[in-house]
Amino acid sequence: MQLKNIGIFALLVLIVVTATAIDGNFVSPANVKTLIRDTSLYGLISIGVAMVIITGGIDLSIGSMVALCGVMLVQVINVRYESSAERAAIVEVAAEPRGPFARPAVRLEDSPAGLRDGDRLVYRGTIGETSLHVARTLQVDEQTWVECRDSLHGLTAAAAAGAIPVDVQRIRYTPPLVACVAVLAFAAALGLIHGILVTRARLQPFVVTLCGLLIYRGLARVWTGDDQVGLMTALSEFKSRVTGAAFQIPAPLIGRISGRADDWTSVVWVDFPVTGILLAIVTILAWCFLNRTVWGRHLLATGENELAARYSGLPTRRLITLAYVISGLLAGLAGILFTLEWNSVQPGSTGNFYELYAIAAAVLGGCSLRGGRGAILGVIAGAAVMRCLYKAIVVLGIPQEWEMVIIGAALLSSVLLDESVRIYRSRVRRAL
Amino acid sequence: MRRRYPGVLALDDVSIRVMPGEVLAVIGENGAGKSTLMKIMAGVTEPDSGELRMDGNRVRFASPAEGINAGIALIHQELNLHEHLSVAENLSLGREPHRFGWIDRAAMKRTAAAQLARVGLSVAPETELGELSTAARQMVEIAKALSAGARVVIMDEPTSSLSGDESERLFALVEQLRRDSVSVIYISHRLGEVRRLADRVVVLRDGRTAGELGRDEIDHDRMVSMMVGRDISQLHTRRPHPPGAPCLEVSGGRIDLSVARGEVVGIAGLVGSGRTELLETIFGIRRSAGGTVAVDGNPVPPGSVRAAVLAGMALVPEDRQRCGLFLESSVSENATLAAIGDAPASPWVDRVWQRRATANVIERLGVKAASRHDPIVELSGGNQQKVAFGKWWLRDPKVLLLDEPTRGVDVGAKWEIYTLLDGLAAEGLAIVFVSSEMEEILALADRVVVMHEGEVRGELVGEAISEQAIIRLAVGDDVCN
Repeated sequence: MQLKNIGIFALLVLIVVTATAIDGNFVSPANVKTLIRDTSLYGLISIGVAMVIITGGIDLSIGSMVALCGVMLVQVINVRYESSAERAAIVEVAAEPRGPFARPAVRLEDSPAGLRDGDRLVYRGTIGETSLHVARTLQVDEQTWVECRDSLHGLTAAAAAGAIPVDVQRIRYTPPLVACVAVLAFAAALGLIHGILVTRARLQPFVVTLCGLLIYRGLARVWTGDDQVGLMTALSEFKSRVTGAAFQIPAPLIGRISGRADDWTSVVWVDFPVTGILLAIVTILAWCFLNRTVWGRHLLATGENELAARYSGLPTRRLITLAYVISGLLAGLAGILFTLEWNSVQPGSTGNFYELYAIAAAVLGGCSLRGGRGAILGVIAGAAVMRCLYKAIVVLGIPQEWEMVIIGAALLSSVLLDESVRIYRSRVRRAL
Repeated sequence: MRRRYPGVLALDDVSIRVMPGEVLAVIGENGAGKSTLMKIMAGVTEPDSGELRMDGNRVRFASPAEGINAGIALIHQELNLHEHLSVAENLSLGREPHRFGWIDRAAMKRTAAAQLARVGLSVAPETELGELSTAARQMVEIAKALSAGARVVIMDEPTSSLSGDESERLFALVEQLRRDSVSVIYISHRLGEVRRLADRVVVLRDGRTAGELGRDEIDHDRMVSMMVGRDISQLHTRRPHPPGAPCLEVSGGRIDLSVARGEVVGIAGLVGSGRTELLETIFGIRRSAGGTVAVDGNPVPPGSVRAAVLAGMALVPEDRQRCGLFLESSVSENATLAAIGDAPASPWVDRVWQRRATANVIERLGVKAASRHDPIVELSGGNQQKVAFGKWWLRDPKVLLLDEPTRGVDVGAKWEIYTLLDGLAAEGLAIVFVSSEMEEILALADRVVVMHEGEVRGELVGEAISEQAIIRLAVGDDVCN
């Protein structure tokens, strides 16, 4: 590993240790989970932009792409409710989870068959039409009970007074996996267009992706009428599967440090999010691609000296295009994950500055904007540094408006340090 | 006016003098030292020793600006103008007429019009420079020099990119300058022009003055023999390579060329005669304007380096730092870059193969490097060139195209490269190389193709290859054999 990479890992450790020393809560299990999750989300787009930076280009469209892909995901899944002629009546309410129920539940009479997660029961209450959101249907003693995602305390009295008639609305949506594939294909296609514009039309990457930044942000706003869109309560199972914990990892010491446990020997369990696994997979693939395949070698060579790469018979245009496709694809993936994580997209602001965070992480991680140099693990560490700095600011109670100042200063000093190390080393080399 | 510069790096004890109103032609082969001499006069580079006198006073130029201020203007091939500015703006750049800090556009235009009239160029002063032809730009540059009060105008290959008519206008301008008592130093490969314009000719050879011819003595044969007349170095003795079956065939277009297995073909010609372009077109870097390339009888799709490489061709480019090597990358990465895609484990990088292949290159080509992990930029020119060779040698090419294979390489490495090429030819490679160095052509080539202005001017085989014959063809002489 190069000295450069060691530097960024050292910086990461320094930030974590300092923040923890000031406030042990920095390593609380919940915060560690958040850090892993956020590092994963930002790490994905950072790897994408790193590929482009390695070719000597830049991708400024990532933030807008995250927003547009988020909007697209919501729009393609297109959650809608179909009112059928189906009717039922609520005859009993269990406002608190009890017995076999994990949630508040209602007993239905004349219930239509096959009520599914996401379907709605609409009744006319005191404040107009109100919906109950079905989680699942159970048969208890040959009675139909429906678990709901809503608080049912307001209904208890009404149900006691008599059966409440409800309209059944069935949920309809595009299967989420299909929607995800469509979004990823769309994002890859945008990357392909960037690549073609850069390599065939010979436009500057900065200009191409700057136009992308503007166009995609604009399209996201046009598509939604500049309104927040989201999945709301629908697809909760899918959402929790993607955003939840994949498994738990045992973490010694941090229980005591963060004040969750009394002694040093106790081990707490930290949720490892699914996004973390996705990042791990992408990291391994990207690392293998760059360091273990001929294509990666060719990509680095193209970035270092495109002319010489061309004279060596490398398919430089295809390689550069590929880098933009990877960047687009990962921005699309991040768009999906951010949307599922936050459950909604704000087309005007979601993803703002993400391209700059990603570029910063890539630069921190040892990519040269001149091209030809890049290390995937360093980029992940760079993303982690950015997220840890951000979290440290929160945990330490520094006013939020300082965030950008601190991140900017950290980036500047690390680049300065890197440059002086480089100059020092070349001077030593020359002296030998 | 007098100037002397003995003992300059690329120049060894060269002295020249120019009189006011005199046209002095400086001729010589590529690398004879003409450009260095001109750069010193114009203040682009400084001599190691020697002095420069104007009107008998010693002068020193630390920069081209000082040269211009003293009245010396260098008009060279890469013109020193701003394409996005107008002709008038270019002419007055740095000396804009102004009133109260505002540029006086009317005055600027007036002066520009007068300056353009002086060089006989009829374009509107507000025309953007980028819209003008090379010839017109050259006129603008000369007008600019004259307006700065130039008393010595140095022209470096001024007609190399001009058409016949444009050249005529330039000649008329030179006559005009002569009448205005401006000294002109005229550098050219084109002996016809020299014969027509020059009052006196200085011939340079290997950084020395090879001779001087007065107005009445200027004739073609004298100039050629002075340019050539040097001992051919006994660096490397030519070994004829018996040619096998035809391997590389280039036909149609403006060039027909057939190279057999084991044959070494040298391409001679002056700088700018299209030699590099020929190699790059064969290799697919440039699109051909018609014409086909075939290797072993199989046609190679034009305009694709990949196709050329797959067909078994390899090109070692002239500018190895820009086009041939990845300077920050290691010796090993540079050496294996072209072949790694065809290594058995491809598309995976096989480290064992890579180590072995690098070791092969280092051993077979005699690369001297402290470690195969060293950045290639730390190697000497000769060793860099060997790695640039090795990169292709690992692919076992059938056709090896070399552009100035020993440029920037020291004598020892040169000899090693010649020996290596002899060896490769003996193994059956078809080798085509471009060289500006006569000795190199004479030492290696079984056949010499001489190019002139983008066309093959003649071909010399075996005993017919001589420096005289090559130069005759290269300068565009019609005496063909």
